[in-house]
Amino acid sequence: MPLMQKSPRTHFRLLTALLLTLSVIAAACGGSDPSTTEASTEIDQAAADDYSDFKVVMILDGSAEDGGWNTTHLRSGRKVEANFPGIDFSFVEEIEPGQPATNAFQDAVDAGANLVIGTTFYQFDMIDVAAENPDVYFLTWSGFEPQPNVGHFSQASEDGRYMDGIVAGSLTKSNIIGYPVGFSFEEVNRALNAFTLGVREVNPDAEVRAVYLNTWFDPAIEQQAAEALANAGADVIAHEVGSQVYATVMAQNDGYVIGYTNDWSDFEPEAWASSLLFDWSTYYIEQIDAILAGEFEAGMSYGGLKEGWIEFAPYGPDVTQETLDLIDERVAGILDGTFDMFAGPIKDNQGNIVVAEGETIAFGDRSACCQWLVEGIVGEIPAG
Amino acid sequence: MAGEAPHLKVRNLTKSFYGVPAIDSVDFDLRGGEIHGLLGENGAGKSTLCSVLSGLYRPDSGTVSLDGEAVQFRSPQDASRHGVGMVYQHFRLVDSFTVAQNIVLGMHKKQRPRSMRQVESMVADLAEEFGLHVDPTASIWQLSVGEQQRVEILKQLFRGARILILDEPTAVLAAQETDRLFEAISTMVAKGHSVVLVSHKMAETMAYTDRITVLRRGVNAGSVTTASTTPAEVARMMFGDSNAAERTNYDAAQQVGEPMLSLSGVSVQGDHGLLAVDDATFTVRRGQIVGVAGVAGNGQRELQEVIAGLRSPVSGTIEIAGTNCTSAGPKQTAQAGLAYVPEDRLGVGLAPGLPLEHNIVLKSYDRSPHSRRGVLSDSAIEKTMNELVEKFDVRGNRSGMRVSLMSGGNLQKAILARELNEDHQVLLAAAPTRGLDMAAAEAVRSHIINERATRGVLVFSEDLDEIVKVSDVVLVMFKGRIVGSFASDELDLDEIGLLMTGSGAEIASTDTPTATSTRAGS
Amino acid sequence: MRNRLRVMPRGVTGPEVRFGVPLGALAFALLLGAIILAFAGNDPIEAYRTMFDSSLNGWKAQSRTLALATPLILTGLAAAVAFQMRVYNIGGEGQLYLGAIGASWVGLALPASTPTPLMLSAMLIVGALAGACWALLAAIPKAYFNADEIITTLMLNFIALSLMNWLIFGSRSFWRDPRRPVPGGKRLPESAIMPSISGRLHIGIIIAIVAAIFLWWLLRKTSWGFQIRTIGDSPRAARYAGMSVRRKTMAVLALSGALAAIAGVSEVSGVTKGLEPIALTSNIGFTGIIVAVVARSNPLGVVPVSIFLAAIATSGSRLQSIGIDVEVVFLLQGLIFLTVTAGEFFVTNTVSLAHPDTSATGSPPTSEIKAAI
Repeated sequence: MPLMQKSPRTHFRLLTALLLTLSVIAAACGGSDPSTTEASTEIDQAAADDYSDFKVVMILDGSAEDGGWNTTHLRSGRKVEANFPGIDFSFVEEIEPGQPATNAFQDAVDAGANLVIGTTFYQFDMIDVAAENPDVYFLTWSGFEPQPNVGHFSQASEDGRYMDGIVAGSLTKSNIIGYPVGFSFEEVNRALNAFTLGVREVNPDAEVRAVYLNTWFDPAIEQQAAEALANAGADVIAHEVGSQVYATVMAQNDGYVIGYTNDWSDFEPEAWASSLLFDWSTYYIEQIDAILAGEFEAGMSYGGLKEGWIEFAPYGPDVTQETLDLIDERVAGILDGTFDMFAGPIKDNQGNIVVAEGETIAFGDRSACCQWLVEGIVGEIPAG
Repeated sequence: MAGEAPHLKVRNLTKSFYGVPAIDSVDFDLRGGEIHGLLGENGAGKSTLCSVLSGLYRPDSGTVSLDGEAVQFRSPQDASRHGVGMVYQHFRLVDSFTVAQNIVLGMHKKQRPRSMRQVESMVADLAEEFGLHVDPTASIWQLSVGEQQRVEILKQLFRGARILILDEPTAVLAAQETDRLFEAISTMVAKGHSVVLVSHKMAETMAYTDRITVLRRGVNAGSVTTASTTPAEVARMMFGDSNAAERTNYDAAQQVGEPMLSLSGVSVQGDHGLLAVDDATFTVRRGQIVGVAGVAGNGQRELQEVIAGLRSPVSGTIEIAGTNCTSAGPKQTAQAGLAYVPEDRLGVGLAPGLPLEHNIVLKSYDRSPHSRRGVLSDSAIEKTMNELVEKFDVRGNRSGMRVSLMSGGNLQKAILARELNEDHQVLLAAAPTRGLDMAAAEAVRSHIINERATRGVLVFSEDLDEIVKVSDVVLVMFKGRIVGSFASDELDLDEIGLLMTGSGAEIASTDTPTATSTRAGS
Repeated sequence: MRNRLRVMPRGVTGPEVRFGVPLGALAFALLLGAIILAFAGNDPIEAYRTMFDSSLNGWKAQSRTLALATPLILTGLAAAVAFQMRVYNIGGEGQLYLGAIGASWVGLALPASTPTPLMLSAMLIVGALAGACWALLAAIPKAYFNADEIITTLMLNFIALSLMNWLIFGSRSFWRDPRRPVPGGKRLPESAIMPSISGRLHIGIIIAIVAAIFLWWLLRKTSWGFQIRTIGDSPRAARYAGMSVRRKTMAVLALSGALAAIAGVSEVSGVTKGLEPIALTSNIGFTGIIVAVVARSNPLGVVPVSIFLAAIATSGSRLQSIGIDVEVVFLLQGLIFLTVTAGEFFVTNTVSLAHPDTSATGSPPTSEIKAAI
């Protein structure tokens, strides 16, 4: 969920800019090191081959160095760059949804991009630009409005969340695991369910406490939620709203934190447990290959472990070999099709059977799931 | 301990603002161990003198010496180092800090004990010694006004003040607290401190001071020993000699007509819940100027506001030109025929940041020709402005300039122009010439006198001379009550002066309000 | 003897000052920016050409600047009209959300076949009313209990945000599109979309400019505006003149809320084309406050200030694409905006060195005089 990875919401980022200017003027102008500025976009032109005519622009809504969603996307972009020698890959960051995003898409097209990748909630911002430029291809996360030159993609995060659940279930001593999220909707519920199923596989007594924060980004509220959970005895926190506050609070409480495409293993090494990491490069590379071959197909792509979209951050020091072995087994099971986390019977936390014995939720149907929370979750889907 | 050598000696002290002297060649002596009353009307220069003595202002010329040694205070801190401390009428305390914190606030680290506990115990000792009881650990917001005043005094004593200047200390106090304050002051004096008591209350000055100095229009009108003087003499020093005031010569055969403004039993609550106006009854008739004399703060402002409809009376009735305006708003009183020149020109009478044309039509902007169906006519407004500027000789305006940049006299003329240009039956003018130069004051006064020919006028002023000059009937206000009423041919300035300072209250109380109004009306 | 800086208000401001100072400030900002760019290893000429190309050079660039300026003009006006009366409406952000919620409700509830003029009118009216009512929630306590509107409007922002988030993310509301993998608003029908003037520029800009002119007229040329200006300058003088401060407080806050809400209508109908909390929560309401302050609450000043701000902001992605660090981009944008607006100070004031003797004795600051009297 990129929405959750946002840096503070300041588009008309002039607000930020004004403050930044003041502070920089006050600090007597440090400037930035030119070598780091340019190293990223410079590639060895001498090695350019067939791909030098192909221009890819990636649009990020936050900082490329956010250590989360945007960093993951950029890393995937770098893999694209490595895969297609000479390809003209560039990115722009801190582009807020709305008019600035539309303008950024337009700027990318005007600059001659063949493919523009929107990594966050840009679906509506690029519809018109895509319609007006049928020769340019677009990939946009979470989109769904069909257009012939637009590919949509969404991640099967449950494949990774299940493994994070195994880690959490094996690490908790209090058997209380906190899980603060912004809002409740299908994708969030699905990830939360997968996580809880993972927890309960190794620790049937553990409960996962879902907390709905009703905000996308607010470190103060996150802090409060984390502290409240810690006070209630939670010794592991996983999240989907994502600031480092969780890691800090858990470090102070001798607990563990589980990221969401964050690698905080260096930030709070003692508290660090695990995190799935998205790798979008498989998808990007496939799509570029298809475009170059003239075989681009519009529509939705959904990918998890099998598709190569998910990998894992280094595990924390307290994750045991036994746990790692189990994770390896489950990953292998998903890859070869012998393990299905949604195989019935599954009960929801009201006691109803939601997936009957012998049934499952097929991979292709998952994006419509879930309107229920699995047994073991303390919390309810807010009414509405 | 009350030695003969003056502690503080002031000679020829002058301080001007914008070329106008606020105090002019003032001499003043404060002897050791005395309570010295400093009296004078508002604007007589008391505050300016005190501000120079406490280091807030530097004088233009003149000398101050302390125990025979010439001193020049560069700042209040500097004055404090020399043992002079001032307690302002409006306290300068931080509400959320404790008493002890406030007392050391602003003191240099070297001058105060390092631990707050030590400060607290010292403050407690000091409070005990002088009978200024207050809990050093309490926060200011928890304290009553009287207690806060004690903190201010303790603050000065803590800093080693030997000379304390108290600016109208009793203005904010209830009677009981006043007694306690003077007990504390006696203790201070007994311990060798000297106190300057700024006041315009005759009774307390006569009761508690050793000597009295009166300032009048920036000059020393005399220093006397309290025991050997009378309230009447002091009042005369404050308000001037009977002979000094001359009646403005106008048609004595002026016919007095029907009532234009009648108040009957009007009482008004002040901002602090006390009765600011108490049972006021009087009538202003056509062809008559009624002047209200009184020291500022005795309910004049509230009385003006209740007449103008800016306040509601708690009892009584008000009629303007035959219309009952008891509970009317400002718009209704204006419609009933009241023109109102308020005391505070820039705060109330004008919108200071807006240009003259805006202010000229402040009350007629929503009527033809200045606006039609809600749309303003700039040309009509400008026409009115030009006419009135011409007629009332308003100078110094430039197109689009904020009105506050004009001089006081021109501002007052502009207000008069606006008010008199309205259809009106009675003019209410408060402190109409305050702060104006002679020529402007004369122009304003003549406009007021002209009104008398066809309408009624009610004038408030702290300048007794002016009241006497223009009025057909003089009313005296003290503590919210009309304590005296004099027709122009039976004026007794000595008695008025006494009434104004409260010492003649028993004389006036024999006049019932009804009788007053009868006399005023006849 | 130490000399002190002495600031005096200018009496009359001539055109050479009026236009010369901002241009001088701009030149100064560009020079300073060039140094920073050069220091960061970028080519200042290329950077400035890119800024100019993407914001002002040619109709395409201009139209996109104007499109970005459209909601800013409206929220700027919303703040300006309140500031004229010294009512501090910090709630433009929340009022904008309410406008967006109201307008999208109309757009989705009315039949898609409704003619566009009718549809848009209904959206504008309902949106504006929603914003006005939202503002009244702060205005009534302000008028009757003197509750600080800064705090109440600010709190209402959070409530409005929660409401909008709840409608899309927290519930299966009428506004939410059930088909979407990640929650979002239903797409508005074609008839509820503001017609385009050119590219991304839609008729919202016309609404905004008409609103600016209307507001200027209302404040300068009507007896209603006369009262607002009087109250803004001196509530006591206004009361003395028989004006109802209470009623005007409510009216002005409602008008302010309506204007901010129209910005929401314009965004939802002309840009996001559905209730999209993510795209709508971009501080347009707060930025409007900056616009109003810089424009000194003059409705006609709000338009150029908004356009100037938008012109600076719109170059962001192009500057990045020529290899300038995003931090340097922000720095440059902020620097230009701050310097030019700070230059305003010199339009209204002169600064000179004053000799301490002349300032100390002759004329003390007015506060001292007040203390003395």
